[in-house]
Amino acid sequence: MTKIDDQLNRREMLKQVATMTGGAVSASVILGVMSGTGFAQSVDIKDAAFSEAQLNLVSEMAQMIIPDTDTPGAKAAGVHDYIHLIVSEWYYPDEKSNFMMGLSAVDERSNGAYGKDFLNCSDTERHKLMTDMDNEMGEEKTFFQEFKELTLVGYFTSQIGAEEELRYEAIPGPYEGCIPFERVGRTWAT
Amino acid sequence: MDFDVIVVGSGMSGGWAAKEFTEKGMKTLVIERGRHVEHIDDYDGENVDPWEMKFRDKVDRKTADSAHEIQKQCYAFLDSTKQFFVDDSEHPYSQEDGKPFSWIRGYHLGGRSLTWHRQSYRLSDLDFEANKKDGHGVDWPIRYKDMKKWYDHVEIFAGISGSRDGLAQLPDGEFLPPMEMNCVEIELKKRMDEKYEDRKLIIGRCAHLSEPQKIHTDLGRGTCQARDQCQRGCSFGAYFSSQSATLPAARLTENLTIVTDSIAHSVVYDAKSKKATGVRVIDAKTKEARTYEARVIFMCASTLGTTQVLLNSVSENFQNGFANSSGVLGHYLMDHLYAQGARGIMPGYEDRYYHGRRATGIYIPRFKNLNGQEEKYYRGYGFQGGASRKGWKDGMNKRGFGADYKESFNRPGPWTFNIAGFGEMLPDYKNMATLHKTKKDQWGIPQLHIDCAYGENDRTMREDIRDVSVRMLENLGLTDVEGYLDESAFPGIGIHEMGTARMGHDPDTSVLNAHNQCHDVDNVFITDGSSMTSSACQNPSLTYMALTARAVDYAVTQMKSNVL
Repeated sequence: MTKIDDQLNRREMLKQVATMTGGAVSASVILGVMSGTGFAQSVDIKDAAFSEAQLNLVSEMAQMIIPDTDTPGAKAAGVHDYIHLIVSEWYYPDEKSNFMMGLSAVDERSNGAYGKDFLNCSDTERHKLMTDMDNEMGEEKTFFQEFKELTLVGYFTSQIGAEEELRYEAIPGPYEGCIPFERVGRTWAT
Repeated sequence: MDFDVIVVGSGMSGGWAAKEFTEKGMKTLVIERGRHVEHIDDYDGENVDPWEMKFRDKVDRKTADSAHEIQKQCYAFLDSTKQFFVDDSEHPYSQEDGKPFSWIRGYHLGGRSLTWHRQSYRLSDLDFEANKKDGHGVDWPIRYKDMKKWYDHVEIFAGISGSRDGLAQLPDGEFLPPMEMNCVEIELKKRMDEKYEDRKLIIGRCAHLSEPQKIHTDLGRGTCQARDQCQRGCSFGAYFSSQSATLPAARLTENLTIVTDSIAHSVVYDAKSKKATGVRVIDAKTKEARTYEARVIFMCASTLGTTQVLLNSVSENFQNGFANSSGVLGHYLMDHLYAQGARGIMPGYEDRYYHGRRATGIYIPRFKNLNGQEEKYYRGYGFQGGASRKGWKDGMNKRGFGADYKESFNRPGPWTFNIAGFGEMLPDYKNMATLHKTKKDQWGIPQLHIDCAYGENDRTMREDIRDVSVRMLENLGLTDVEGYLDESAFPGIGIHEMGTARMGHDPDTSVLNAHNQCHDVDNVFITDGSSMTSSACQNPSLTYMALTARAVDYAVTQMKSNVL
């Protein structure tokens, strides 16, 4: 029963940390405290596709799609690392180069409109650029649609996305088929 | 003589053969071609959260594409379950040009009993009499009355959750309490009763312990926790598998020996005694051959696995495969018609939800051709399905970004209801598995060559399934109803392959008699899916279990009276 014990221990530990801090510290802070104990998976990316600047751009765009609200957003959930992993390791060369072209086009677009890179734009300018990209339609999936999908998957399969923004239970216990929505309160992550 | 009995294979059928024989005092050897898998300890994917997996429970695509070209087609092939599926590059088979066949399998102790979908339904006389009535395939040599007590027997031990619905075409059994329906399913069940005299919507009968009995807890099995991650393996032992149930029961008798990494090569035949003397195996690691001997041999290596071993068991007397004087060994390969149905939206119920991930769905038992030949095709189909609320995955192409966009996902979407038909595939001589003339695997065993396709009846039925399900969902009050029929689907992907060593009355047209005993060689029995004379439309595993227990009972009687 080692693995179950391990998981129960981790859950117990999380509960204790929450109690010790009087519940005043958000779970993401606790998760930070707990990192290295198996909570946050550090991703070792082979053949990294992004430069530091590109990773920053991805991180900022993902954060604009899923910002901090009453729960942490994409940045805290490491969505940029997930996107980096997928583009670097999951994608085949043609998919990777399409994505990289799409990413470059973001700065080309901002330079065309405002004479500067996306990250140097004001919030209003960024918002306008993102809105334009979001409104574009293509026969095939646009870069921005692909980017949003990666962001959603990266976020809602992260611990923050699944456990804080949505609801997640590893071991739900006996199934209950028909209950008031309020008892759950949010969408099940899985 | 090393053993009283050799059982080839440790999955659904092999586990049952091992349990029944050892409990009846027979020294039993189970031969498994794959590695050992220890209950609990070897469930590597269990209790792993999505974010702990590099690709969030998807199998690394490049690995999947290179090593799992076939297995990746299976819905249950995930990062957390991939250890229970074969590496296709290690275990090649051959497919007829233009007739793809997906052979989904796992080579390890417990076989596909670890990864099955656990739906458990009895066949009825509608099924056992079907071949005789419409002339497709030979007559089953058994009827429901022959099977009833064995269905009872295996259900009680396995633990089948279900409701008693009083349907002639889907006999009730010895059930544990049913899983709950959700609010929308309850309403749709009511509407189904109102709208249709001939159709019922019932909860899926499944091999899950909804309320464990002593027979289960004695083996360390516990209540289903509604994780719905069964194919990772279950430390609670809450679903039936060889690891959770039959093998532990067999071990308790101290009559059980298991050898793993031992690939059955052939059954050894002695022309003088006209009996099999043992099984020749090749060590998966060293590739050395060795032979085990026993009085009786049970082939439970899965339909295609058993067929491959028997076709490879050639001798002067059996030049076309073991116990194959009929010439039908390898023929009449069937699967279930798969990948056709419909889905729709159920308005309302937005204040209702569910707790947990129920490991079964709803079932709509067969309602076609119940009273004779009423349709333009033979036989019929049932539906598996269920209602659920749309989640974040359904909103992928929503416009927008920012706080409102983010929060739009934390309210579940509308209720959807989907049904997927599982249709009976007619037995057809042309659908067959043979040994490839030249290609061999790394152990020198000829590769299986599969030549199988849906026939005219199958195609007609698939279209009917789609059309009927669309009309039915509309009648039940669903909106935005969409039918589907995957034209690219082909046999194998239903993962219900069966029929290649069928039972029958006549030794000239069948391999096995009414006791799953080879007509030609009386100390060899086949009790996996290859023994099925027709496919019916129900998920078949429960029938394999019952056939196995029944055949063991017969064999032991014969052994005790020294006939065998």
